[in-house]
Amino acid sequence: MAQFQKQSFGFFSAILFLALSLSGTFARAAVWVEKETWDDSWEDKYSDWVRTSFNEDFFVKGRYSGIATDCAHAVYVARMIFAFENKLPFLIKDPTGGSVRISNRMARWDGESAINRVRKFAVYIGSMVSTKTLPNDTYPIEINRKYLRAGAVWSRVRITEDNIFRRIFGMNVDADPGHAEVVKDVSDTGVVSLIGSTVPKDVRMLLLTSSLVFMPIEKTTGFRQWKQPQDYGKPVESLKGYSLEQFSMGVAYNNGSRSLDAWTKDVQSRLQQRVESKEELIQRTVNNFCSLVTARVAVVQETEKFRKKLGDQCMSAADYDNYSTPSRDKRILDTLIAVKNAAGIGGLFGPKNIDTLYPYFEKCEALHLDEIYSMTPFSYARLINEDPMVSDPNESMLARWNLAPVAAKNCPKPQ
Amino acid sequence: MIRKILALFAVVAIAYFFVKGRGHENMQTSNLKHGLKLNLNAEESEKRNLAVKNESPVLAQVSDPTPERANVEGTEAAAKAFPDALKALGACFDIRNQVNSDRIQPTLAQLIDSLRGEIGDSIAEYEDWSNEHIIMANGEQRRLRIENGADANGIPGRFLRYFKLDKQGLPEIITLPPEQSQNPSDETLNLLRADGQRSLYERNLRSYFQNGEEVVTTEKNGFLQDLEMTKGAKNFKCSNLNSEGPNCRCSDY
Repeated sequence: MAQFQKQSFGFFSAILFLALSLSGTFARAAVWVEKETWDDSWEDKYSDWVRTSFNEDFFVKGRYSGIATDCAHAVYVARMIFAFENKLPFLIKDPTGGSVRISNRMARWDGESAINRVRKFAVYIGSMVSTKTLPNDTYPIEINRKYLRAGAVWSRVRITEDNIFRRIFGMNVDADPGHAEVVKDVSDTGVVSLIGSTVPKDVRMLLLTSSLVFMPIEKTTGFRQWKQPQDYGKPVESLKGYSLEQFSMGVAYNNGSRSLDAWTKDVQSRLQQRVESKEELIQRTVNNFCSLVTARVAVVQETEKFRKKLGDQCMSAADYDNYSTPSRDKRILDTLIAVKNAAGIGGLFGPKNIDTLYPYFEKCEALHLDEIYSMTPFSYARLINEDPMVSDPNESMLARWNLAPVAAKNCPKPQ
Repeated sequence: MIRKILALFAVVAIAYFFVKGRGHENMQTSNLKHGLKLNLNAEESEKRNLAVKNESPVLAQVSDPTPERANVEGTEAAAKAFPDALKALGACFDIRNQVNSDRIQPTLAQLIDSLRGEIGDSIAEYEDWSNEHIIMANGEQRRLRIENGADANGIPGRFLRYFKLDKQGLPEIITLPPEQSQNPSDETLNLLRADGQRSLYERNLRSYFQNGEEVVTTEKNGFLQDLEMTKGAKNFKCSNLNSEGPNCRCSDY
């Protein structure tokens, strides 16, 4: 009997061991197990999904709410989440130089629920990628409606031609930061709508615009398509739609020099199925303005909280850098200039008054600056049409919106 | 009774190995079915290359790998192939770049030497990123990635990320305080390297020349891996330069 008990114990131990081993085997499920393969049909579906489902509130409402993103991260995560939802593989090059690719087969979060694995994978991707990793995972494409469509990537690394010339002529480098967005749609008038996040990394509404703001020069930038998993290791020249043509488009002068304005028009003319009317152009640029100004609200609110915490103190150089908004503000001002140019009231000799543009602003939502103050984007447009924008984070919230005079706090501005 | 138990155990064991075996087979079938075979082969190939390099006692242990100290056997074939790549570059742009030997190490210095007579020296250089792999004294691996970029306001800087590796060999970030991650000092970098030995150093560099030529290179352990040169409306691109068979292509755009 004693022998039987001993044997039984051994047997059940073995069964328990096997059960644990087997459960361990099944628990190593990766982030998700792919069942499909990327092909043209899935690329079509991805394009449709971005157009219809990857909307401004993607990371603030629903299943993926609460995921903090910055610009490149949001671009990667869009692709990753679509892959997850459709059991497709997701794979990117390890940017740290490792030979193992980062993919949905990562086992780091085994034991977590499926959605938690995906959310943690999304956060992980954010810790790995940047605008400088996008060239590893995407390639430049032909500028036509077949390849430049919803789901394509629009990206630039930091350096611009201006910077190169500044370096050449010994001037200070004042770089534009890198940026990346997802092509949300291409209209029949050839307008490319872009959706994306921004820095610093945060849980935020995505920004929808149609302003391209830069012309691609380096071959690592511009309109790009994702590599499919089976494309890694192949020469990019062999991939569908690969082309460098966008880097020579936009010639504006007899000496072959290019300009952003000419480039934007070239892109639009290649994509358009009909000509965009003047009214449409004005409305589109006004919509851009409203989107950009709406995104500024949360940034200024965040700064105001921090400023109040500091009391009378000035911000340190690092905090000033974190909370000031010169790039963002320049883009807003450039967009207002574009609105005026579209309406034919721009330039040095144009009328100062922009009241004739009011009807185009009617659909823009009000800006809720805090619990007390609100204003319309049109009111703000009028204010910054008259006076300079206030990017200084040491100024009060009302001053930042040109609703109060700037305070003579005499805080030093970091160089 | 014992026989029954043994039989049952055998059945369970067979079932276990069957399931495990099937799981493995399923994964392979799945790879083939989903078109991942090519990719996995490429990964395997990369791993093999890495393994070969790590076998070299010189490369695995140097703290500052340079072309002179790297695996000479591994680069002999590359040195034979590089002159052809340089000639192809010259033909692409219709320039007379110097190719004075039938054996030239595929390094940035050799490339610039070859081009100097035609396009001069670079007038601006810009390092996009670098990766450094460190094997610590206790055998753990660490990685440092530095990206040169700009912050949200366009202020240029160097941004450091520091990683350890997980069981799958994938990097896992070790969060550094901003004073270490933004514009890290040499002291910070040396502290993170500790007493480890560098097993890999790679970087991506853009060089600009006075007539607007752009040369983008990726170097690994001091040797060129990839090269892309743009001059006028022509583009010349090579990959796998540190091998016996670099892939080069000249195109108009």
